[in-house]
Amino acid sequence: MKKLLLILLISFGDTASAQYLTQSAEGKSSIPLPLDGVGIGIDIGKSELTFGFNNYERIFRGTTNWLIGVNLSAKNEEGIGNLFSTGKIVPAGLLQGFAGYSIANNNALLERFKGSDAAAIATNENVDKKKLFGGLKDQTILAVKLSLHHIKDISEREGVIAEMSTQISDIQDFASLDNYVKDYKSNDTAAEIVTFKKEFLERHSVNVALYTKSFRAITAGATEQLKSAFDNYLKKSVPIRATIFLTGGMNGRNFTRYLGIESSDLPKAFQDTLFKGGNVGLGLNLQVRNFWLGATYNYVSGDNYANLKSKEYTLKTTDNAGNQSLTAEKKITAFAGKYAKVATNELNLDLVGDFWLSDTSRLLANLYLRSSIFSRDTAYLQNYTNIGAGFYFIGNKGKFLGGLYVELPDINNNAEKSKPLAERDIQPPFRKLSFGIVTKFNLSAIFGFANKPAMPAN
Amino acid sequence: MAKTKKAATVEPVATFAAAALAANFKYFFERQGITILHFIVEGHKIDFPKDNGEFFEPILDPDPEKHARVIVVARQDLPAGHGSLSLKFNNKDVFDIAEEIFFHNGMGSINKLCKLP
Repeated sequence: MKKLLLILLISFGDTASAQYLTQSAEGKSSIPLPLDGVGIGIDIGKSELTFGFNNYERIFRGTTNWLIGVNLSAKNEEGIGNLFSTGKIVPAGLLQGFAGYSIANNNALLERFKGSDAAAIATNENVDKKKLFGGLKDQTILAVKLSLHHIKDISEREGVIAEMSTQISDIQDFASLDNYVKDYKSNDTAAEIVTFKKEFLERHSVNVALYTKSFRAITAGATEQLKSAFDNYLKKSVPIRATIFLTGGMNGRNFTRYLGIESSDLPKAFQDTLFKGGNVGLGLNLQVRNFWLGATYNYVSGDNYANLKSKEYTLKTTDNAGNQSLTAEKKITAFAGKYAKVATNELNLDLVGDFWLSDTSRLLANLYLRSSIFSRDTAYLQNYTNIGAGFYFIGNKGKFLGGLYVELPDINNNAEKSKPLAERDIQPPFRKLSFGIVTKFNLSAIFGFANKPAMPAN
Repeated sequence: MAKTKKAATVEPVATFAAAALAANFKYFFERQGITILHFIVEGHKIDFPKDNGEFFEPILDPDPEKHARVIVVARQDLPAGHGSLSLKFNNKDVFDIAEEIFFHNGMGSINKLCKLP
């Protein structure tokens, strides 16, 4: 199993992507992330492998307003470090689904652009250029007529003007017009045609020179005006999006508990425990301009696994045969302490700002709160609230350059306050700060609505 | 009689009409977490363009180095949302590398007078 997991981790290592847009110390967020189809994520530090599906990118393409998705993750609850140092595996899995509805002011933004000075300038530029080109075509046909006197035969003249007028009228771009004019009867060596072409091309050349001058003036004027008009539109436009969703899931964990020595049968002091839990809740994401607020509120059927203390035991058994004995040793990793299933509610809040630093770099700043509240049994599981901030630097094409977070766990010291007075060690908040550097980040990530807040250390 | 004879020589008109129908521009948007609201190439306008497509737009520029005005209006839907435009004119790349849509305050844009290949 250990080897299999190691192989799996190495296989996915190069293409690994973090699970969440921004991370708390526990690596969770309440801001939804896009995915068009199926995605795979792996967190090597937490030895967690995730498969996800959602249709969020389709919402941005206007195909639908309905949101649906599923996340399936499996991990070793004790992380990769313990896997290699002790071989300890606590398999855990999570199946999380979500469905919701998203609305945005895209049509209003589009209509606003169409009514903007920028759109009017772009439209007028094109209209002016088309009018100018129409004028050039008229002038070209006029140049044909004015040059036709070199052709003596009236019917041939009529033929030339009819043909050229029809052709020139149908031409839509400058290069085709210029090529047609220059190529017209270019192989005809009749003296009348040659002199006609000579005068016609001279007239055409003058027309083109005037056309070019006017065309450049229109382009320069529009370019100058567009910059400020476009900036003005962008400054006054406020993108808004609201997404509401229901989320629910189930999770499981298999671990060995140490029950204490109550009989001479020592192996009975250890019990394999299968925990099955779940959650159901509501989420809201709100965007205004370059700020996003994410919130989820869940009912959680959980346990106090995180409060248990992991210990490694050595069970020795001795078989005697006559005056000889055979001793065998077995190492058992087990979790000691009071254990119970406890229902709680969870509130997760994220505020993310996306700030422009330069043409090629951006900063995401994330303030977050992870709160476990309304514990149904505070003797086993205390309420707690963690707050933190994360900063992430993004380069071109959304490429993650690096990031860090700082978190203050259990801001109310509930875990310490629950201990006997003599054992309490209540620290000032800044002394409990935890820091982390985030080295991997990928927007091909998955919704992260599981949002199990980090447990404060006992 | 003469008109009939000359009318026959007018037939090549169809050549220009057919050329006008053939797409000369092809585009491709690479995007994640954004919505493209509007896309303009010269006089050709598309609301909510798909990820890729093609169209004909006449180039009226008389200069040997021809240019086309390209405008993209986009919005950011998610933090770190990003996108870029690849554009081909007569099957040749207009941009050496895909042109990034620049986002600021949740709105993104491209507003360029692009040299055509």
